[in-house]
Amino acid sequence: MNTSKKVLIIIPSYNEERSVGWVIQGLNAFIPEADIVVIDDGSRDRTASIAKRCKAWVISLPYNLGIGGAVQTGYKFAHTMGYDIAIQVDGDGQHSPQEVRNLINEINKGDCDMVIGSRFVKKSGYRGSFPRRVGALIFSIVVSIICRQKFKDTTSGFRAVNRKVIEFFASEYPHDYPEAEAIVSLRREGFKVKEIPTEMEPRLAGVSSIDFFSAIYYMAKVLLAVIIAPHKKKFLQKKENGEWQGHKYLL
Amino acid sequence: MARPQIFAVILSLFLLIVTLEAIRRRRLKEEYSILWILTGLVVLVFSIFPRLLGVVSLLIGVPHLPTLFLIAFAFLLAIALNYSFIISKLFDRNLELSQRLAILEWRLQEMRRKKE
Repeated sequence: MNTSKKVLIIIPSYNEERSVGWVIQGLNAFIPEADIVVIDDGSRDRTASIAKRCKAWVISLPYNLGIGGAVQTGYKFAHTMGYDIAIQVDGDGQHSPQEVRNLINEINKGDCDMVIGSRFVKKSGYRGSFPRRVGALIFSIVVSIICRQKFKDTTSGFRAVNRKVIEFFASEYPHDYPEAEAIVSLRREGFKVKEIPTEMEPRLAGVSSIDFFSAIYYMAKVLLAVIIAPHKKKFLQKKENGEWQGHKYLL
Repeated sequence: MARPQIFAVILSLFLLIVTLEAIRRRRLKEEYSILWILTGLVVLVFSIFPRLLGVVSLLIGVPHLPTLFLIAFAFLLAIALNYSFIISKLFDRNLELSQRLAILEWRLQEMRRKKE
């Protein structure tokens, strides 16, 4: 394994003062070589100060951008600072730090561009509430059909990506409920995406960000986005020198 | 002039005046006003010359007056749609700006910290 690779862990967090400290400490203990950046998405609690006290870098957004905008800030940061691998970990503590190593190893093997730590692939003991599982199942079926590749947990926010994807996400990342759409858009651009089973903890604090009414919007938005994504104009064009170039603003 | 016709004339004149006055007071940018002005003008022309309305009514097969409002409705639809496009663009730019700002702020703090 190439240990000189620069690894960045991105923790998007919004009002997660009760869990973000533990998450950072866990990651520091298990992945000491990685840099950790917390994207404070306009939190009104002590998320930022706690993260700073735990020696994580904190980027504070001027207002609440939503999960997509926050995560993308992390990718933009990773891109500007020249990281080779970026890993997204939720700030609520449901992704266990031990599993991060598996994601890094998977990227280092080099046979995929993004790896998703999945809750539903065999060994995991995770079970969500009933509506949650129905929604997840529908997404899984739709995304799998569109990508012509089986995906079991399309909404997992536990992912690692390589340099190419960092660059892509830095300029193009979906906004609301971005996880499933991000898979489809990556596949659309010809990236390889892989899913591996991971153990999930019950969340340390906070509730799922999705209540009943948002759930309906959530379903509609994600399905629309996922169905349209394969028909969107391609974002990346291959330049003559073989490099990829986005047609919009790249950082 | 029939009463609905007078109403339509007043309505379109009102729209035109409000739009032009808003531009004058710098409340509205010219590029966003074009469709409003066009809407006002078209409704005005059709309400002053009901015969034109008759032609369109024949074409789409409905009585005269509703046609006028249908035309106005079509323009409003165009305006609303156009605004959605503009809002989407503004949204993208705003997002990009706030992200870059946050990253720059961090780098500035980091530079200061290293200097100390």
